[in-house]
Amino acid sequence: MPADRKVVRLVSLSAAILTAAAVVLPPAIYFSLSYQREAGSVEAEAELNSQLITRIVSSNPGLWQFEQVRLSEYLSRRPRRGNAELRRVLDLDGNVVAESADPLPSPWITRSVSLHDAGAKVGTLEISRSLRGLLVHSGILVLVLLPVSFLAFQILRTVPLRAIRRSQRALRRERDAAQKYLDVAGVAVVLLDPQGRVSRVNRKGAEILARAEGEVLGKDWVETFVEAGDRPRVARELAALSHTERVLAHEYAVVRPSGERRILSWFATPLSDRGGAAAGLLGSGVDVTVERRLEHQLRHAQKMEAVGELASGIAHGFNNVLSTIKGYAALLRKELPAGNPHLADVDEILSASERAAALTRSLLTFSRQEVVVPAPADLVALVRKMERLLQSLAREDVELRTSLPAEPLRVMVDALQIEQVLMNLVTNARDAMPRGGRIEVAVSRRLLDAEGARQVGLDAPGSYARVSVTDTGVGIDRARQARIFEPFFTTKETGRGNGLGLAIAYGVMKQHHGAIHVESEPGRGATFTFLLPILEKGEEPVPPQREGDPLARERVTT
Amino acid sequence: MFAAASTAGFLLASPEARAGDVLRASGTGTALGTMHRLAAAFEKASPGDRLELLPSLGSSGALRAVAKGAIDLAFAGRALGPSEQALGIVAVAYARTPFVFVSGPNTGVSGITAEDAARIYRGKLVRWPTGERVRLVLRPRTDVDTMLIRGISAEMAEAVDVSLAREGMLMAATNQDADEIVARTPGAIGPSSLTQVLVEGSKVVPLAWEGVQPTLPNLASGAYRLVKTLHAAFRAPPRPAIRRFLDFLGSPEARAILEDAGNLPLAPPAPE
Repeated sequence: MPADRKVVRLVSLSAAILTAAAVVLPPAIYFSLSYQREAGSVEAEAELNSQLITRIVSSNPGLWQFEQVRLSEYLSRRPRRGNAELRRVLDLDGNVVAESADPLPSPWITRSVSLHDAGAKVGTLEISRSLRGLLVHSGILVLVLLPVSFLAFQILRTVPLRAIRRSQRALRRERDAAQKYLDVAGVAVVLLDPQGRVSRVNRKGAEILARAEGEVLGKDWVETFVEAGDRPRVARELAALSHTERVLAHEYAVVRPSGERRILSWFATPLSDRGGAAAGLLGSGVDVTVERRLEHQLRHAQKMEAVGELASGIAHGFNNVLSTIKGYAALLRKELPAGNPHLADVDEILSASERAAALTRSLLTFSRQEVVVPAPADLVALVRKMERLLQSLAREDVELRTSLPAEPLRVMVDALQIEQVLMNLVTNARDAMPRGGRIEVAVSRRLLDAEGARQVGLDAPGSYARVSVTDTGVGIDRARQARIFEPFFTTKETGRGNGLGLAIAYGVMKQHHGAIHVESEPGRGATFTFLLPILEKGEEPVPPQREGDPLARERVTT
Repeated sequence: MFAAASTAGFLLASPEARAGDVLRASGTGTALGTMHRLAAAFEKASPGDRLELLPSLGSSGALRAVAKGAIDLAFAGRALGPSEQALGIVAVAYARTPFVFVSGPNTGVSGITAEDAARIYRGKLVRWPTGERVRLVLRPRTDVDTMLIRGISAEMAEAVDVSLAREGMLMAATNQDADEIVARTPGAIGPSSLTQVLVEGSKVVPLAWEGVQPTLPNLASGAYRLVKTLHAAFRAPPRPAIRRFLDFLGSPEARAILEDAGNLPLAPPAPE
């Protein structure tokens, strides 16, 4: 609209200038030409009259100034219907010798000619002519031109404005249609100017950025919206693209005001103006955040499955060997008499065998091969019961808080395994805070839709009991987060962890149709969250083992 | 009486004045021709005195020149106006001459009536009996001749105003110009005076007015009614040389010259 007003103002101004010129110029030209003509005429008359008067002066040089009658007669010889004039003969002292005077309305033009006698100046002939008539005629011309010019002004203003408005309406329709195409496209469309600032963004683009269109326009695209880690690469690729005619396909993450990152797959192409100069870039991006997450989850799941199978195989074989060792060790212990010095050695064998058996159980838990004994349980009560135990796990310089809902959250779980998971998470949290800090264990109900469920690696939407363990520790970078649930992967120093705690937690959650994930940034602590399906009232308990899971059928006994 | 007084005055002139003086004079063209004749006689009659006649300034111009002291004597065809009297000028009437309408070539007339004159000035009478177009020669509005014509009658005054308002009229600035234009223009008619016609030898025809010829006897008898009175004007008190000249004007010699030049001398010439 401001642009419209600007156009209207410009057209009106142009029309007004042209009209004013049409009104003013002809009278001005008329006046100017007529003025010059009058000036020339007065000068010519002064010259002619001076010749006549000079003749009188020459014929009576001593007393010419007393020939008033004759001088006046000469001075009065002029057209009766000309402009009013004042003609005067002045002596050297400026006294009027003779004059012929009409009433002389102002303004007037005056021309003087010297009168000479034998080369000596004896007086002056002065002719003044009124310009009133000329002014009146010019004014009449203006009055005549005014209505014509007003009409011309209307035409000059209306016709172009009508055409411009028609074009604007057509343009607006086109633009609206184009905007609609862009808005329904389902992809983000972003137009960057040559300086890399956003000059246009469609609804989907603004939606992906979780900002209003106005907040996006004019901002530096790379510096404002692209994730910090991707900025150098994206800036480099877009800069290189500006000087080509190709279409670039690349992928990078943008960041929402909340800090949430969205991964977009872009096609970008350079734009040029009519002169061929760079006019910016046009990019269309598809939000592939979910796809990438699912791909990641799938890859992760596949990897975990493979690792699980490997661990399961090793555990089975090792368990068989261990059973033999334990069996023979038990027989040997029974056969040795009391006081035999080898009894202590046999006890060491049996003890080591027990520790090895515990290790294989952990591996089988991770690979979901351990026999679980699920039973309905209130997760809130379970955590509340563990509060003292968890407090004892934390050091003195670590504060542990719990946040529990009033309502019970019934879940179908093997309580011992869940306790194990919770202890593992709290232990890890403590170890992530070598200089002390705070651990918060929170339990809540969470209703997830299909998208929400997918995002956290769950198979189905529904109500879930959510348990999160948050610490204020050193945090975990993105690369380590990708491997954090793998068995034997640990960030702890050697000897402080076997790298199976989170792998067991992962396996337990899988066995309980739950999920576990981590959110963290280096230096900002970490939050491990696991979710378990809530048993609603009247709901039949569902065995946590998935049907058809080949591994599930291979029960391992220890 | 006039002659005696003049002679007495002339003879009683003081020895100092008789030492001689130059009188610079100018005035109406009507009088200047005669004055040239009188000047010569005056210089003889009053040795040492000289009347230097300057080119014509017209009546009004000469009176202003006297008032300014530019000349000593002004010869005017009219009496002084109040503003001129206020300037300390004194005028004496010294002669009268018939004021005449004169015609140029091919008019075929020898006289006109007041009615003819009015019609001519109104532009109603446009052809002479010869078929020639009537070409009226006007004088400026403030000129003595124009005032004399306007003074003939109220109707004539109106007719003169009409003529002055008409475009394309012949206009003569001086008496001599008027005679010259009339003399060379076929069908021309304009104002003049008997003395000017006689003295200047103008080739114009003085016309009878209302059937009366413009002669001095007719003027003296009152039969001829158009008259121009000539005045000699000077600043009061008059210088001795002026007194001597005025005395001379009353002399028989001067009167004879005046009459010979178409003037009817007035007696005695004394300040008005």
